[in-house]
Amino acid sequence: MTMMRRMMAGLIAVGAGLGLFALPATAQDSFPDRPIHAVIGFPAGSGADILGRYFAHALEVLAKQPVVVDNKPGATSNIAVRAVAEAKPDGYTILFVANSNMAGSRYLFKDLPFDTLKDFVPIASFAQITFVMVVGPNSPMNTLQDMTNHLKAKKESLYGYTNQTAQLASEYYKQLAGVDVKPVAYKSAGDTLRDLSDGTLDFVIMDGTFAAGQIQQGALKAIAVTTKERFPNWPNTPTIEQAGLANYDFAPWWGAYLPKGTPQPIVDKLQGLLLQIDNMKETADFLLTVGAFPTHDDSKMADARLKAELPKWEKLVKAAGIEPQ
Amino acid sequence: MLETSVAGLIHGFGIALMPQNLLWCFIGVLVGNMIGVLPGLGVLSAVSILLPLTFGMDPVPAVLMIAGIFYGAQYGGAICSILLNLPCHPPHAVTCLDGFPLTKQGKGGVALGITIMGALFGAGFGIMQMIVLAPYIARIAYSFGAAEITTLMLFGLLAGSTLAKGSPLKGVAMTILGLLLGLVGQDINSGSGFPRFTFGLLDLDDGIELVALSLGLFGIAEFLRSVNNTPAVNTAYTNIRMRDLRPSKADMKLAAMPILRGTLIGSLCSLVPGTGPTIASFVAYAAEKKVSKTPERFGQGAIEGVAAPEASTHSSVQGDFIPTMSLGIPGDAAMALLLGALIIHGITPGPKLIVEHPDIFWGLIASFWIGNIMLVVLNVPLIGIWVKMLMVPYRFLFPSALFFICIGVFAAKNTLFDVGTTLVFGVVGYVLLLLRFEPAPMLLGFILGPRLEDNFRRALTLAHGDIGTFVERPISAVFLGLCVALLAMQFWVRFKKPRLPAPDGVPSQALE
Repeated sequence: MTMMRRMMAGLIAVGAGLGLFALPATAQDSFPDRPIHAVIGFPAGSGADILGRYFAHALEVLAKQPVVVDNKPGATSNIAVRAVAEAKPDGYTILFVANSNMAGSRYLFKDLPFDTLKDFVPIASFAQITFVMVVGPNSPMNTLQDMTNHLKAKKESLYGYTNQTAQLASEYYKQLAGVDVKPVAYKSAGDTLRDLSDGTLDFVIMDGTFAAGQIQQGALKAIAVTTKERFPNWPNTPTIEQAGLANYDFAPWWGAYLPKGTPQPIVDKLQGLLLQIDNMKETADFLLTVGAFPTHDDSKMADARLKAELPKWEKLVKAAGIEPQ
Repeated sequence: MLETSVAGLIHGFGIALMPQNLLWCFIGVLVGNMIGVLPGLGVLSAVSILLPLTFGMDPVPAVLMIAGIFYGAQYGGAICSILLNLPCHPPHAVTCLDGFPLTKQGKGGVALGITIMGALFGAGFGIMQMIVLAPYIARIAYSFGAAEITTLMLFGLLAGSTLAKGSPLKGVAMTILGLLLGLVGQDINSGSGFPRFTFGLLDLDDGIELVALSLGLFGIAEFLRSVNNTPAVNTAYTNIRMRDLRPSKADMKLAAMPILRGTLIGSLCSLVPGTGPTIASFVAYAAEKKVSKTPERFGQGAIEGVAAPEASTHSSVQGDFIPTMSLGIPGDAAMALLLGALIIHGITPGPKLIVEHPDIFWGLIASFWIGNIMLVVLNVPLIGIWVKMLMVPYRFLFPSALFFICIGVFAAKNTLFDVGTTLVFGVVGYVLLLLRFEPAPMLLGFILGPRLEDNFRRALTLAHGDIGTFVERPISAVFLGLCVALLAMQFWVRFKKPRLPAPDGVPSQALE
């Protein structure tokens, strides 16, 4: 890959040299003058991929250069993070990534070949994902208080999860509510529906992308969202904090990062473009359909947000009893 | 109920036959068909590349096109399996077993013809099933929990270890090897995601890539075997006359029942969550070998061994749309992508889709018919051209195939690591071929193993550690009973009959 990229860079340099006699200083002014690669650590077709592709497509329109999405799934997105950490810091390789990777991975894995704080520069944080606690449609539980009381009375209760972010959100709830529930791993949110509907699982915390449709169709019942604010599309669903658990705030969010050492003008230019996309009405509309909303955080704010979250992730991973691998 | 379905279908044809929708449906099946012929280059990457294109389109043509790519690719998938022993897509790996021997006998065109017939029949049945069963599907899908899927996988493994020709013992050994390979990667059930057999390599955290494994074991291994026999290969493979291309009456008669059985198996598999077309085609092949009066012909070029799995794949692919469209639960990654496309257009897949968006649901079903007929029209004249491809000297054909394999494997996850994996398994597969070990049961173990483990452990957690759950649940108990019956039958046959000499007199029996 790097070979190909180097060859391509070489070709373009030769072309530029022959045709334009370009001076080095104009490289930043003319950015971008060739295709940009957006690296996503999820397989094509996943919810994260659809989100990433929306932004890649919008960026392509504004930047007037092709934006190629590179899906590099695997190892909880760490393969994608590694690829961008090792990429040339020229603004042509962008990482679209969730905070679970940038903030959480340092506590979930040992011996990672990169440091998410030292090896990256944030461009912006552009979307917050809504995670929601759901139960089956016929469950007698309607509020978070019902759930907590039920779990305190019941022995051997179970919750399902499909990724570590959701697992941590559930463990956070257990910790603050003082209940004991055993985790059950699932490959996809769809698989949990069956076990929720007959009460085998007491609850699942899942991302809004999948849940939105099922809740609207009455196949799932929403109890509360994990974020600080209510989700605009579900005005009647409280946050876990509003439902009685003080200080509960768990917000997965998406950001764009560049390798450390990218020239500041290029970071600024990409930041401007991404925030411009984030401010468009159609972006907000699109994000609502996948259970998310725009966050408008620039490079500095994204950096501050990430650093502020580190202690919380460390505490949560320890409390959940997850051994770093 | 049926009346509303017929009315709906007529409405759907009205939608699907609108020029704009017809055009996008055609583009979808054409792109799909071409992708299907290229090894490894998957439906997923094709659809995800085209997905942003659909952002600006109306939802109906967008969905018709994406669906067209998905089922169109299955038509192309069998071509390289039969002609070159290259399973371009995992569901067609099992087609290699008899398809390639048929090609060596100069009957590659016949095999392709039978494939298209099986495909049309299987797909047609799958579509009918979707029309009739969609309203009832929720109950069937919901009756399969972790315990039921566990015992179903166990049954599949037992039935599948007999896929191999020759020694059953070697078949079992290869299945177990496949199970072991399936263990590689993060153990998601442990909560901490403990990495198993990854040797500290991040690239192995998600396990071995299925596309890399199947292309290596079948395609590369066959390539390595052929390079040592170039003269023999050249005359044997390319000696095809035009009149050999059409299936004879006898062939059709042989293939009729296998197509029917394969179709039924495929449609059943599509109803069980988590069993896609790959499992369907393997099961269909195993079943066909079991019911055959002449099982020794399998692996030597039995037309039934091509007809059944192909019909099964196609009926399962069409059936796969049912849970996606009627429950909003995608059966596999490609269906998840279709679901994503619907969500982007503000359409919520789920039980109310048929009522709320009849244009999409019935338009899609009508377009299945139209698309499948387009595919047959496209593919029948092409058979002659595909078979002619074999006349390209092997010193050009195989390097080009190798080139496409590498591109396809690379495209699956955008990583060179998988290209290396393919080459390693190519060498492994070649050594196994020399030792007369069959790769098919290994692939089956690799596909079923992780699902077996995943569901077994989940079933036990859900039952709070009580292993009795597998017997107490009726569907699960039935599958366990079938496992026992299958084992008993094997022993019965072994003890009752004296051992038959191997059909081709190979020393494989002597090795036991």
